[in-house]
Amino acid sequence: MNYNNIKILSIIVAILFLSACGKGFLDVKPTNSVPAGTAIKTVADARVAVNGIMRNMTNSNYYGRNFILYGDVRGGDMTLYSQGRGLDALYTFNHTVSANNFSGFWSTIYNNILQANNLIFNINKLKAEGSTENFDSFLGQALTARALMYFDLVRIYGKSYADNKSAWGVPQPLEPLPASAQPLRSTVNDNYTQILKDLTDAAPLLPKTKSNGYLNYYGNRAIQARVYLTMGDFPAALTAAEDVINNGGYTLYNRTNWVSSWATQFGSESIFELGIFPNEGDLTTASLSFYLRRRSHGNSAALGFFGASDYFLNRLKQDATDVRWGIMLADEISTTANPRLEHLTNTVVLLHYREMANRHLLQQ
Amino acid sequence: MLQSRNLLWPVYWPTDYKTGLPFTARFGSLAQNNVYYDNEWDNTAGTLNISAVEALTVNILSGLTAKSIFSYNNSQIKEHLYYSALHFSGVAPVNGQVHELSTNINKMVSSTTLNYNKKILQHSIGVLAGYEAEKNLTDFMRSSGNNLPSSSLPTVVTAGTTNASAYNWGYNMQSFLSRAEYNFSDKYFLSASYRRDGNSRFGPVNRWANFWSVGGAWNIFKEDFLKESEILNELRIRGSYGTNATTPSGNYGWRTLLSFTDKYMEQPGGSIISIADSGLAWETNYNTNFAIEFGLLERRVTGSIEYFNRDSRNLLMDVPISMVTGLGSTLKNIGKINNRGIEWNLGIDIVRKEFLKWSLGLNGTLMNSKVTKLNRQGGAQAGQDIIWNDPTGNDARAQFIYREGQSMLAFYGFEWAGVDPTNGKNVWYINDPNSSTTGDFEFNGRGATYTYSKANRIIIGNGTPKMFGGFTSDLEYKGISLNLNFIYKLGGDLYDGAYKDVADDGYYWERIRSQDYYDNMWTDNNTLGTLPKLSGNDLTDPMQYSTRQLHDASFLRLKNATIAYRLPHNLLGGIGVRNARVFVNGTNLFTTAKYKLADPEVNQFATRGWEIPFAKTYTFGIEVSF
Repeated sequence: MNYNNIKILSIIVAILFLSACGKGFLDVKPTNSVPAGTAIKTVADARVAVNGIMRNMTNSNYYGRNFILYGDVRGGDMTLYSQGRGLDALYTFNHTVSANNFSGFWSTIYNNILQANNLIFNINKLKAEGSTENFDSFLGQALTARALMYFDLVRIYGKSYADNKSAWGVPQPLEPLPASAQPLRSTVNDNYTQILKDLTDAAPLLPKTKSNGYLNYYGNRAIQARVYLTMGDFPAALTAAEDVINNGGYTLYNRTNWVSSWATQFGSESIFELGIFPNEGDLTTASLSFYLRRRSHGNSAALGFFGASDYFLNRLKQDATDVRWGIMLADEISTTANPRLEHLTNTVVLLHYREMANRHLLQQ
Repeated sequence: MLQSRNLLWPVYWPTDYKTGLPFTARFGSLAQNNVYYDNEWDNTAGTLNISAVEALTVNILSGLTAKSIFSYNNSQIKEHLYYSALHFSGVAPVNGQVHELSTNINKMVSSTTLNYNKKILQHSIGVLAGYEAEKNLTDFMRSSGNNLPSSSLPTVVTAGTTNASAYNWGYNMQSFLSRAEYNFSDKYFLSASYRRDGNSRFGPVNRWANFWSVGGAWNIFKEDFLKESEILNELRIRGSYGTNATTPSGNYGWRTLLSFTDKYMEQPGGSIISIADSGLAWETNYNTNFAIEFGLLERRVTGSIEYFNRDSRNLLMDVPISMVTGLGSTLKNIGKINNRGIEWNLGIDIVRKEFLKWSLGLNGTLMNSKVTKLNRQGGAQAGQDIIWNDPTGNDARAQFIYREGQSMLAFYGFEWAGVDPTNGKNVWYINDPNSSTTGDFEFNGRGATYTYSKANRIIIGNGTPKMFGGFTSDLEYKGISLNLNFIYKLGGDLYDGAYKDVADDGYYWERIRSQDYYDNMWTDNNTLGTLPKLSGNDLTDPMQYSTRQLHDASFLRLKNATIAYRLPHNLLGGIGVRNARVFVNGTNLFTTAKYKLADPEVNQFATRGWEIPFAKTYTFGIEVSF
């Protein structure tokens, strides 16, 4: 190619490039995400959004770890071996504005409420626009998940309903908010009213068949039983629990397979169980089971964060045949005397049939 | 969270002397035996750059030329990362892991300009107009394999399980530009420019913006009344005013996006990851500059003084938003910042003889940077404060606050009052805005407490120095030369986010502590200790952002020193060597600083963490040219 040809070629290339700069030239879209406004258009999109909500629930700030520890550690059933290994403020109650405020509960749950709100908002919009697709199951799951999340939030940040329901609960957005929004707290009573409304709206939309890793009708009813129980409405709690017991088709583990159930997924007692799969939300060293391990057990990064407290063990020791001894291993302080909880499964069971059954017995 | 570190690891012997096997235990720390693990992984990277620039200039008329440039740059970065089944990142259940990464960076720029230059008598004019378009696109591809059959064959194809990822990102720009210049007999200069830029990093509302500038200069020395001056050899003043802009660092900051990283039970899952401001505007700087340049006494003394003032409006920053919205922060135009100051430099030739030359150079910048205006939330009187963390290293090593009227680098935290000599406890000033004596007790006449959570956070320091700069000395005597290059910083604070990790007073009981902490720790025998008593009973984790980690940032450092000898030509004559030079060079040889525990030369945020400090290095060399 001689020099003139190169010149001509470069002019052509430059002109081609110039003419390529049409109107869309400055509208560059990412290839790993989509503009949120156009993301939910079909049932398939709604399914993807529900997967996102379930996955976000497995976050280590929520059901993946901290939310479970919150009750066990602050309640004193678990203790820590040494300060500074992590999350010790849950045991020492050392929370301040600038340190150990565990804002992860707030931020993670509100983030997931945004996902639920966005799905509900978009399904309602599509329906209003005349879509003929059947969104029922996904709308039902989003509403139930939102109710469960507000229930968790108001229990952490508000006074108990039975204690003082006119106290401040948590802010309660029901639609996606703009960045400038600063919604204020609703009362505990308002929160519970909304939780019940979402649950009762959702129940008829949900399938009754079992769907591993997702909420179904009985998951919704089981949550209703919990909510009513927390509110002190025992007859309503009983009705909801009995619906699960009589119609759900769940069965209790027997004494032998109770222990192995901790290492199995989606057992016969499991009503709502979140899947935590490898290469997904597999939290590895940030997982709940990792935080319950003895120091260096199976992995040198295991620091030995939490173990069963004396308070808990002394009560367990009252019955040497208690089935729960089957999931305890020796702890860091002593090789035999102080067994500790060993959590083995890679799913989190949030609603157990056992709980419904116990509640049922309680009411008899 | 996992903070206990064993800093002594690097000096450990790699094998267990009893068994002869490598140490893999971690002895209560989170560190690993690097001497051993270094052999259990592999990382290679290669970059291939291709660049093609085509330029075409056409002379249309006398003085009028058209120029078209098209450039294409491509960098292909290939990376291979391997962890053996023995490495802590590759142990069971991973059983060996290999990643092949490929990043392909493309940049295309097309620019077409028309240029007109003309000189008529003493008038020179130059006019330029043009159009530019730029396309940036990066392609990324990763393939990974776990469960490798053989440590001798770390390739993805042999792996038991594989996974992959691939996507691309980029941004585009378009500009229309113009410039006009005029000068009269090289004495008076005037210039003006105007450009209109469009950038895909902004939404359709504010995608295009206009920028302009004007400038002028006067070469006073060329005036008749100075030509005869015996003292002055050069005198020139110049000034300019204009705007330019900063774009957001992210490509899609104005878009509210839903991403698909939340796979659930082997199904795709999507979540909203941003609540964006689609009306994001260009961060625009309004720059004013005035300078005077001079040369005196046969140019033995030369120098310049420049005043600069930069107002940055519509500052772009990720700001905290109510988490009830679902997200913690969003990119916004937050307000206005002002930087102004004086930059000066001075060069003096002290000796200018044939065989002996000695010159000195001095320079400095006096700077003042302030947050002048912040967005008001719902009709509030004052702008809303923004608390932000030092982004360096993502380790939240220091905290700052943007507050109207305060420095851009205002450290935010508790005021640590020191140690109570009677019991060795940390004492914090309450800093109650209403009364200086409110508190659990009085300490040095001010309200104080042992519990930091009762104290108020305030602005505790300023990371902007009063003045910084350097000076040089160049001495040459008969082929032997000595060059010294100093840097200095005067005033301002630095925040040492690393020292607290080795000076923990007991909350992180299992940590290793520095000699300095033991030397200065309060004990029953050392009640004048400046650092608190070591106590495992303190449940309050007192390692907060506070003045305890804040120090005076002033320092002087010999950054570079070189002694060299240039061999005389008559020695080299016969052997075909044109030039030969022998030199010894040293960097960071000498430092004097107010803060003595760690390297005082800190980053732009005036903070330090666990990064490697500047090393003292020595270089010996011979330079020969033929």
